[in-house]
Formats: sequence, structure tokens, C-alpha cells
Amino acid sequence: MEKRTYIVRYILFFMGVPLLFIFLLANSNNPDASIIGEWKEVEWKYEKTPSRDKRELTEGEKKSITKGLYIHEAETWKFLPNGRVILSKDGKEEELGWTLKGRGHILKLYHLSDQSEHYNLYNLNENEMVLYFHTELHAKSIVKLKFKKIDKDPEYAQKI
Amino acid sequence: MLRKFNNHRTLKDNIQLGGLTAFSAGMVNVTSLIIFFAFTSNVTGHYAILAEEIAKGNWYEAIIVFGWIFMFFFGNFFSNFIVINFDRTNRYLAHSLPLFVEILCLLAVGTYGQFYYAETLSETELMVGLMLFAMGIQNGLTASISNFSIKTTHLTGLTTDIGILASMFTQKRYRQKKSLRDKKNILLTIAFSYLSGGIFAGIVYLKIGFMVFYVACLVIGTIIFYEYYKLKVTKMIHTKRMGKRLRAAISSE
Repeated sequence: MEKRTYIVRYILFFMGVPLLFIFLLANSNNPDASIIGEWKEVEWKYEKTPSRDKRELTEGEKKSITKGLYIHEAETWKFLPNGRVILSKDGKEEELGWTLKGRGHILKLYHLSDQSEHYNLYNLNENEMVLYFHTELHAKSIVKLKFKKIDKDPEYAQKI
Repeated sequence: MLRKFNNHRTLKDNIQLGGLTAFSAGMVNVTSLIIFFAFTSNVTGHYAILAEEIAKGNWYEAIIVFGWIFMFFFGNFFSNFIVINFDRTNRYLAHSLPLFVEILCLLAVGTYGQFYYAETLSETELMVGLMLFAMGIQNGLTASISNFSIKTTHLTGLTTDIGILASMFTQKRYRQKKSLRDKKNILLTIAFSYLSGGIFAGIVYLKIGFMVFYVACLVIGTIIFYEYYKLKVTKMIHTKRMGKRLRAAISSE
């Protein structure tokens, strides 16, 4: 009798957990879908400075940090569902590929030249997206990019 | 490596098993980190991430991480389930079957990654889950058959043990204990192998991509076939000895 109870418990557990997992997954917002739309970059700042007394970075330090990286400032990023993203600034447009990696916390942008950029997707909700230059996994990276969604509400877009 | 169970295992058995499995775990972990940006041989970090995602209200990410932790748990459950249920009928099979399943998982990841992977998020999540299952199998098996003295993917515990041993060895009475010296050798072998596997995979991945997983399969396959070979040789020697004894008994009569 006791053995049968245990077997039933195990079966319930190993069936229940995957079912609960699928149910929760189906009812949560997939970052793949949440990222689709047009985002305006509103902030680009160095999150961490070399010392407590020194709040600003010198041009040399900035260059050294961003060496080999693509700099995206005051751009608009339009994520399309087909895995393409259009970056626009001052009337110029550039089309790249995008994908999410890890648990949806790494944004990878592909260039035509086969080069790629990685960002930590720190926050993504209906109105705001915060990215960090991806440097390593456990520590927050040093440059923060903040975006506001602009295709949701035209008035809100005009405001920002 | 695989035939002996718990207290019947020698230092050599544990070093061989720990070294080879840790090497493959290091390979898998570093490769998944490079390709998928996720750890696959340890779950300590995943627990921290799960808590962080829940605190941030990122439910999708939290569910995914929970799923990964469950896969690692299930891998451990599966391998130990096989060991405790089939150990009496066929020990070699009971100990090698989980490794076969681990090889199948890694082969699936390697083949899919090499030929079909389109770098989508759902593919990444599934493959990371499969690798965590494979590493759970390996960790569960090595821990189970070695009486919990080998955990090839658990480097937090390993580093803790090395730290404790290092402090114990400041006293002569502990340095003289063979069991502690043996433990030190096992732990250092695992740490060195894990690191070597990681470095090797990091270098080789740049040249052969997803086929790194085939190399990891080869390493695990070596354990299975080495044991099979040893089993055959032992059986052959045993049969020869028995034959000799039988012939001697007949001739003396």
C-alpha cells in the first residue's frame, strides 16, 4: 500500500512539473515577442566608473572600453519578427539580424560582414528596454543603453 | 572505473572516472557558455538567476531557468534510478547505461547544432535543457557509484573541500592520513581535468564548432569501452585460470 502511494506521488510529480512548466510558459511573455517594435534610444551612459572619486571617464578610457565595439547613440531600433532589425539615425538606415540567446537575456545583433554584437538584455517591458554592453556573464557591463518603445502610442513617442 | 561500487572502489578507479568525466563536463560547460551564453554543468548560478528573475518579475526567464534546474535534477534522478534498480542484475550495464544516454543527448546537441541550428531562442533553451539533463546524468552517476566522493560538475563543493583539506594539511597528523591524501589527489585531478576540458573546448570550438560535442562523446565513450575491455580481459584471465586448475585437478587424479 505504502509502495503504491509512493509510485503515485512520483508519477504525479513527474507529470505535474512538466505540465505546470508548459502552462506557465504558455501564459508568460516571451521576450522574442516583447522585443518586436520600434525603440528609441534615450540614454547611453557609463554605468561604472574606475573609482569612487572619479565619476567621469576620460576620452582615452572611453575609447579603450569601446574599442572594437559598435557605438549606437541616439538611434532608433526597429525589431521585425523575421529576425531583422533596422537601425536608423539622421535618415540613415542599417539593416542587421537579431536573435536572443541564453534564457532570453542576451541580444545578439549580426552585421552583414559576419561580425556580431552582444548585449545583456537587463530589462524588457512594454515601454522600456535596457541593454548593457555584454562583457561577461556574472557582472553587469559598463555601458548602459536605455530605449523607449515608440510604436505603441504616437503621443507617448512624441513626448520622448 | 564503472564496475566497482561504493566502498570497493580504489583510488585509481576514482581518479580515472573523476578525471575523464570532469574533462567532458568542462568541455560541455565552456562550449555552451560560448554558444548559448548559459552554464550547463552547474546549477548554483541558475538558482541565483532564478531568484533574480523572480525578484525582477521576469516570469518567462524565471520559468525557463526553473525548467533547466528541473532537467539537471531529472538527470540525477534518472542515473541513480538506473543504478539502484539494475545494479544487482548487471552492474556494468547499470553503470554504463546512463553514460550511453548522456552520449545520445550530447550527440543530439552536436548534430542539431552543426546542421540545423538557426540560433532562435527556443532552440537555445531546449539545447541548454538537454545538456543540463546530460550533465545531471553524469554527476548523479559518478556521485552514486563513488559513494559521493566524486562530483565532476560540482566545483563549488570541490573548491570548498580543497580549501578545507589545505587548511588541515597545515597539521602533521592530517598530512599523515592516507585517506585525506587520496582525497586531495582525487579533488585536484577533477579540478585540473575540468579546467583542461574547458580550455581545450574553448580552443577547439573555434576550429570545429559544434563538433566539440562529438569529442566530449568520445571521452565518455572511452570510459564505457575501457571498462568493457577490462571486463572481457578479466573474464578471459579468469576462464584461463579456471581451465588450468581444472586440467591440474584431472591430471592429479
